[in-house]
Amino acid sequence: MKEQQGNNAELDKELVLRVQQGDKSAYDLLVIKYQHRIIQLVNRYVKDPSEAQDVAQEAFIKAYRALPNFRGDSAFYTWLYRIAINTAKNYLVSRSRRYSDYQVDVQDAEQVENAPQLKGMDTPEFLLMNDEIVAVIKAAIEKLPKEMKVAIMLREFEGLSYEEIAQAMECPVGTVRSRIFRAREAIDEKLGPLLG
Amino acid sequence: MNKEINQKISQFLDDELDHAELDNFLHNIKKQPDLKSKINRYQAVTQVLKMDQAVLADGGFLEGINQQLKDEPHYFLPQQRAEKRTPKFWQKTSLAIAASATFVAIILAQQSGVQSIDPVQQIAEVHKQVVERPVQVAKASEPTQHERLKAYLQAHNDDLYTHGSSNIHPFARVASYGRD
Repeated sequence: MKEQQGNNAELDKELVLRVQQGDKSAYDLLVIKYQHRIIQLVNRYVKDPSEAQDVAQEAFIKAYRALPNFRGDSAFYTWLYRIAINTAKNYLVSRSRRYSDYQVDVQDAEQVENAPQLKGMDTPEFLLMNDEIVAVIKAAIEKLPKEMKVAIMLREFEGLSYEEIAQAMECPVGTVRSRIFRAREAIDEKLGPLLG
Repeated sequence: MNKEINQKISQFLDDELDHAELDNFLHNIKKQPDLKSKINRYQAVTQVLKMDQAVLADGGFLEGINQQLKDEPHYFLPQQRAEKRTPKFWQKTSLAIAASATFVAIILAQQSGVQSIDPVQQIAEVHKQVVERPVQVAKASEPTQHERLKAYLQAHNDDLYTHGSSNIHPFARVASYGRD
């Protein structure tokens, strides 16, 4: 697991370096990679989903502006989390809202991310859409061949690296890579029409 | 081809994409913007599996960021980093040769039985020599020069007197005028 986090940080570092060298598309990838997690985090502070998205966008913009000064002392992910939390807090202060109930420390970022319930995501439209997406994905997973199902579960639930999964399933890393990809493709086939 | 790119997306999200593949991956994402929605959907799967909930970004999330950054003044954008100063080949070679020559000299000196001297002591000795040498030279050369000058003046005076040029003051007298 640690090894995987290391790889994660290394890949992010490489992307950050490219952004610092002027490659804007590398920042697009960082945004795509972390947008959902940042929205989830901001949503702990800002209840309204559309406002949460605006604040999350602002956090990414602030991060982009601050990137020339990012020295890589911490992982990009941790740094971005800190910016997002500060942006959300500032937003609430500016709107004179009470946010002390939702105060989250940077160290708690992982716990926040994995929290089972998110406050604010309780509009009927959101709940309906959410239920539908969850149902489609779960149904698609149930239909997966056993090897693919195990591989993607070990990856998503346990957070194991491809190498660790390969050891657990006693197969080459290339096979794990392929199984996880094919599992995602099979689920995406069902999810595509719903999300567009 | 698409299948291959999609597999790279899967690897990227799992942080299993090799650094060497990053260039090509970025290039493909640039070339095919619709791949971004593919990444979004893959991430939705991850979210549902982890949290039983799909908190998804709007389709225009990234575009919104890009639009705002596009309107930014230029100085806000990350600046090009200064190129790393790496020594050139000839610099490296010269340094290597110098280091090797020094090393060989030290080894040869040790092998030929030359006793190693304390560097501080060595420096002190050299300094002493440099400081004392001109003084020593001056002391040694002073009588010689003085004697030569004396002999010259003596000869000059003798010559004057010998040739009877009395109206010419001998240089030695003029020169010694102030001293007397």
